[in-house]
Amino acid sequence: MTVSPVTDEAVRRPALMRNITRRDFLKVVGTGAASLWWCQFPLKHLVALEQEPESWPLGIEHFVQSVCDQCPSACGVIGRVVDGKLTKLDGNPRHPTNRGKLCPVGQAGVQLLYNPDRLRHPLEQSPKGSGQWRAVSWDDAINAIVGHLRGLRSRGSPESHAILTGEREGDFDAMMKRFMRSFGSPNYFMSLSARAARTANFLMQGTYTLPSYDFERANLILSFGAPLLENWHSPMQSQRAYGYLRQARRGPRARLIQVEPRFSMTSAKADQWVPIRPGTEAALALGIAYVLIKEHLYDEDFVKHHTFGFDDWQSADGSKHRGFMGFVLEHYRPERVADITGLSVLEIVTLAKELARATPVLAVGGGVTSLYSNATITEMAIDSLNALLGSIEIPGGVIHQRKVEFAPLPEVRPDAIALGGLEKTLRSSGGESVLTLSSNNPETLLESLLSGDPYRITSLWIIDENPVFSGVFGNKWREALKRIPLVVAFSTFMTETAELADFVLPHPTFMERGELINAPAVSSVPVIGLMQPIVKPLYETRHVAQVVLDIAHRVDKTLADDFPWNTVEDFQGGCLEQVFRERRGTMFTDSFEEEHIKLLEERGYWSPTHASPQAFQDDFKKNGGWWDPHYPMQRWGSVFKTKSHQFEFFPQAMADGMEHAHGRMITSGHASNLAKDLLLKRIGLAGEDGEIYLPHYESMKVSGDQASYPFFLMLYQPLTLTALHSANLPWLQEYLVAHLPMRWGSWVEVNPETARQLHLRNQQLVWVESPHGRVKLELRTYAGSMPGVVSCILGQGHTSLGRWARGCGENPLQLVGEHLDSLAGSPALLSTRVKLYQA
Amino acid sequence: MVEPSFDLGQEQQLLKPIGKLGKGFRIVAAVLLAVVGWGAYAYLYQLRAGLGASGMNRPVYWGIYITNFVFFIGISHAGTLISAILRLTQAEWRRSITRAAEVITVLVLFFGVGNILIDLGRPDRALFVLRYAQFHSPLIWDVTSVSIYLTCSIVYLYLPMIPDLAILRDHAPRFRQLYRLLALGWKGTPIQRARLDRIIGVMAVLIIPIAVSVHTVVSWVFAMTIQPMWHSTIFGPYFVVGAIFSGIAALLITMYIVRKVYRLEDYLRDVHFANLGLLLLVMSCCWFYFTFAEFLTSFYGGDPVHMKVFWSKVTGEFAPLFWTMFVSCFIIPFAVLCNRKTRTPVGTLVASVFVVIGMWLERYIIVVPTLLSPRLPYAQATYQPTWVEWSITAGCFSLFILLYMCFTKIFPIVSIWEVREGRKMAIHEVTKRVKTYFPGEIGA
Amino acid sequence: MAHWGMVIDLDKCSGCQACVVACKSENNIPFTSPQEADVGRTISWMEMVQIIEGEYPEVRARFIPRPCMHCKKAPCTRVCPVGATYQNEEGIIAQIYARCIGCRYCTNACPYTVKYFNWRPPEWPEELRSCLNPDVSVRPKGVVEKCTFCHHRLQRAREQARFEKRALQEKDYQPACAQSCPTSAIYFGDLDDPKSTVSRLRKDGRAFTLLEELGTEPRVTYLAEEKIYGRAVV
Repeated sequence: MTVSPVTDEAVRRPALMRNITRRDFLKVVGTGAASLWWCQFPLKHLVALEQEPESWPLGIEHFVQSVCDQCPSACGVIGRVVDGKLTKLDGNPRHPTNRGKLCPVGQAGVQLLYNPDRLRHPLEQSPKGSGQWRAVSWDDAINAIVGHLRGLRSRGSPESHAILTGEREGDFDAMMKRFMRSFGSPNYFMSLSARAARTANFLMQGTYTLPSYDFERANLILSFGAPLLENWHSPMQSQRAYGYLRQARRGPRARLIQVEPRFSMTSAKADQWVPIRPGTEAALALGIAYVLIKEHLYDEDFVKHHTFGFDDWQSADGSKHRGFMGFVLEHYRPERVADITGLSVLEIVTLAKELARATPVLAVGGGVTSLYSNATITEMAIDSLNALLGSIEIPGGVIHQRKVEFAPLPEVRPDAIALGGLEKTLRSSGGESVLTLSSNNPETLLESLLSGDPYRITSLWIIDENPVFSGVFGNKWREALKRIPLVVAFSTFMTETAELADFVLPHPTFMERGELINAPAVSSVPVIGLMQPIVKPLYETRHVAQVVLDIAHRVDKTLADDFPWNTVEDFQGGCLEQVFRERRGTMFTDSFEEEHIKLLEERGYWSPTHASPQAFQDDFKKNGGWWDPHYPMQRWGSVFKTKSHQFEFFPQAMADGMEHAHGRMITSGHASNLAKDLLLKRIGLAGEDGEIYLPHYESMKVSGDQASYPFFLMLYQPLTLTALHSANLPWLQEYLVAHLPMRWGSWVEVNPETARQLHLRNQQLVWVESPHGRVKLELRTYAGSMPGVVSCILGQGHTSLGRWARGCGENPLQLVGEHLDSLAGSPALLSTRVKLYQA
Repeated sequence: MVEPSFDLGQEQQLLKPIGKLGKGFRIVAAVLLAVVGWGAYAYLYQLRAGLGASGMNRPVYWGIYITNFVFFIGISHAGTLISAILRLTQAEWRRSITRAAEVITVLVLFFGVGNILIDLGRPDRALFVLRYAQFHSPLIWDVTSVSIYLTCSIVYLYLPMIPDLAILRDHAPRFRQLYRLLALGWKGTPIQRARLDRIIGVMAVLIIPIAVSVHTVVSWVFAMTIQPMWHSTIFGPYFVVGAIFSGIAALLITMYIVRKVYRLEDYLRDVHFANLGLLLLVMSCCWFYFTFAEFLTSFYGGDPVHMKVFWSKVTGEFAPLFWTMFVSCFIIPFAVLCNRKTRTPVGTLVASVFVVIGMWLERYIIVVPTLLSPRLPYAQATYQPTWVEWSITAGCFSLFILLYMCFTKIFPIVSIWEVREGRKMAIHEVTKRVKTYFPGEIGA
Repeated sequence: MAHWGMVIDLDKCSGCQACVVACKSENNIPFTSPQEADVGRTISWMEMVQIIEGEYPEVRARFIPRPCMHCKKAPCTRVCPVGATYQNEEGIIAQIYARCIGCRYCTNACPYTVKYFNWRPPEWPEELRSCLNPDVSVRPKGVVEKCTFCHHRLQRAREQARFEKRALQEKDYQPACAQSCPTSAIYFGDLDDPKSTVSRLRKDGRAFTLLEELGTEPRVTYLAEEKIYGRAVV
């Protein structure tokens, strides 16, 4: 028997309990507790982030109806305000434009209101361009401006003051116009979209507005690059119409055919995409016209009664003119059109027959086609299709805007100084834009800012507009702004343009100010929405209209007398009084009521609803707006405001303008023939005399030859980057486009086959180079890209604006040359060829 | 009967490392500790920043943490399972390797579970899996079987260690107090011996289904979803085979190092390596068979959703990893191990290193490509593990090695009593057993 | 008990993403920085899925607004180890943020990849916190989140109806996406009510569900574009 090393004592007690003293016990427990505490500590601080709020919100909620101003659509919104904070923007179901629906840009409005990069108080920069900003009080800023304006008036040169503003219609516009008239300057400029479409409308139908379209009742929409499902003039109008045409209305489902060199969202959702060689849309339209005429498929009745210049005609002086019919039949045989456009003869003929069969049909332009150097003439060709098909002033056709213009009483009484100034309108100094029908173009202003001819502009206000960033003349604007003694920018953000101003005055967002908005840009019937503050202004901002009113009161007595209103609301009251006196229409209602009122008005009934302007005004505020749903069709007497009071295939206004310019040139010493040649050369129109006025196809001006720069550069603005500040709203950056999984940036879209031929890969960085510059972009292969065409989004590449916009993507405008459409004077953004190579 | 107190004699060599920290050990431990520290820092960083610190995204919601989890759980099959099988089959050569194997299991399981915790978005709520356990979730099956497996593995490691602990209690230079506690008053009486043998036998039987279930359930975490190339019926056995495969490889590497460092050439002999090498060869073939079956089935079916994943592995973005895996898991081990001349300790070491790397890649290639090819298109994404993930992974491996090293310094890595017992009883036992096979006398 | 469902008419959808932004705004979904967006961490409970097929000029594009499908046989709820995602009695697949352990098993089990994970703590500049919707909790980092059919709106609508002592009507409860949709392509309502618009539309010849073959029985139904599948001439 061997001795066990285990002692007796050890055997009696369980092994584990042996030799554990109290001290050991305490040690163990203490260490355990300490380590437990240690475990607790970091977990709580490192992981659990939910913190109890300091105070629970009360949750007091109310809703305010207002109007969004981020695009000309001016949709109605309802803001949900909880405890004084705007938590959500929804569409206003009573607003006729959007009926409760709201696009992504409108939804993102809350990020505009609470954007951390907003300007919070007036700033002064001295010296200009130095980037040295100093906060100033509103009084100081206004005093400085008033002082300058007084100087201009006292020196008798009020015309030296100019205003450039973004596109907006309503009481604000009325006030600006009034101010400038009273002050004595003709230099009030508004950046308008699709100027070529407006010009074409003016030439052929007599009004310088965008045409309206009765989409809801059309059976076929032939869109020549109109971005109906993207940033159309009123995206909500076209989108709602689209949804309605697809599945909601009774009867046949309407078709949408998209003619565009890019597989845009509209192309993608269309029933048919017709990829066309860029800039040849006019040829296609005229090729279709050829088939319609040749096959007698056109509306002979409409052409006979309501058009001018279809057949050959003789003018008063006895000279013979070629008619549209003869011209088209001679020049636009489908074979030739096929050569020009890259489409097949069959496609052209099929399109024409389909159009003739489907009436009512709409030929829509105003998008891509307004951005070429041959824009106006192309828009004219598109417009003439509507006339050929009789799609004017019929349900489902082209209709016209019948708006209520604001001009509150009393009338302005400009004094002698003002009258002197008002006469001195700026005029393009000639050159390419001889025929510019509206000299009220920002480019005209720019030209004279740079040349100082015919006089110097010494004061410029830029209101919610960013020409340094958003135009092809960015560098010229930069140069020009440096030369102007006093530049005042009214802006919500520090834009690229505001950076070059002397004073930057913070402008409240649409959620913080009151305004009457005449909307939307393409509505045929008047819709006046009330923008009203949803929340109290967050910062020291002031509504431009109020500032202008204050300035008017302080400049001198003449102006003060012309502005007998203390506040903007008073002025708006004056505007509404005008609406009251129209004696028609109704406050915003639901869609059922709308039908009822329409029916009544169609039969000529209208019951006065309000006893006094004041009652009207109160009710207007309560309902958020007023409109007149009734559009009387075929009031032929007032439809066409052309010389012939008909639709003019041969625009006499254009011929007259040409004649006028020709006359001017002869008086300045040119021989008649020589002058004519020179003139044609300058405006860049080809073709026989007389025929240049008819809608025809002109090859467009392009920077870069095909051999060295094999790709045409298509630029497009997605819906999400519609507004000036959109690039600084994170939601919009996150959901830039739907056709590619792209966020936060820009890229170049290339056909996959083309990329293969160039030995470039998807997602690779490439240089996109034009004769004017180059940018580095990510290449994205996209099956919807035409070979020979590459596309890039517009609206990115800010160097200012805010933390999210700055440095996000590239601005492709640096690639674009300075071509203008000679008739409308608008910059041709689509006029560049590029090459791609590995970066 | 083994006497409780005896002269250690030959087995002195096995007690040599206990309690002695050489210079080499200190240096290696310091380096490993530094890596562990760095890994801990990375984890703290991840805790603070959120899992955004990793390279994971949508749709690659799982990355190398889950890869590590599957890998570590797989390695765990090295010990307990192999040792149990060898015990039950009474393979005499097992005696000197079972301990080394069982330790791997116990340690590595902690890292398997640990990687799941690291992968959790809310590690502070980890205990919710007990509080709100939903038994329809394969993750709960996992929790259940892994915890049972861990418990049993610890017991299974501990029980055969008791006699050794008693030896240590009597002979160890240090920690005698600890050994006394752990030895539970082992005296080596026949009753104790009989009980121990019995319970080890029971555990060995029990542990096999548990071990098989563990890796089956791990595979079911994937296979129970309807995702392409996860939703597969062979995933259970496929994972088990892969687990044993990688486990043996890990064991071989460990054995080689232990033998080298502690000069245990007498105990871990070439025959051990050759035998385990053969086992590795068999598993390599099994692994190839399963992989082939899995891929052929997917390929032949030709379902586009599956094929997207399939091609991404075979020719697409994961092809380099896939073929590296294939070469490491099959070509190299097969080439090295099927030849008797190369089935040496060095040869098996080389094969094992490749197998371990290959099996880690295999887990990665199972987890990530499927996630990268979801059924609906999405914005382009890739998965690129970040420094945080690599650091934590490195920390895990280092800590494992460190703990293993420490274990060898505290406990004998080769079972002393079993070796002794083997020496004493093996011939007798084997003779007895063999007698039952044939009629007549043996050796007659 | 009502069972809520959605029908999305792809023929009407214009791909404008108003629904996506509306959802973002309504549900306090944090926006991601460009860097995070680049690695695929943008959270969009409602997402516009684009499918571009074919080669020029025969290109076909489909744009599919994709909320959570709220499957009747949801693969995600089955795998959740703690019951943080479950199907409530009205068929809405709900997520309990306070219980979610962030294992992301459900995100991987979902064949539609509609579940999102909070990789980082949600962050907004101080100013932008003002527009958070007080009805919806902000999710902490480390948990999974997803479309809830704007469940909080249902609760509100139900309270309102109870207050007005009447039954809940279809128009009382519309998720933010359906409310905003410019082309009215999104319909929402009670699938159990045979007279509801959604019930009627689900029987339309154009109706289909995503990944129908998986048998998940989504409560979101799509109506195919006529251009591709329907009567109209191509």
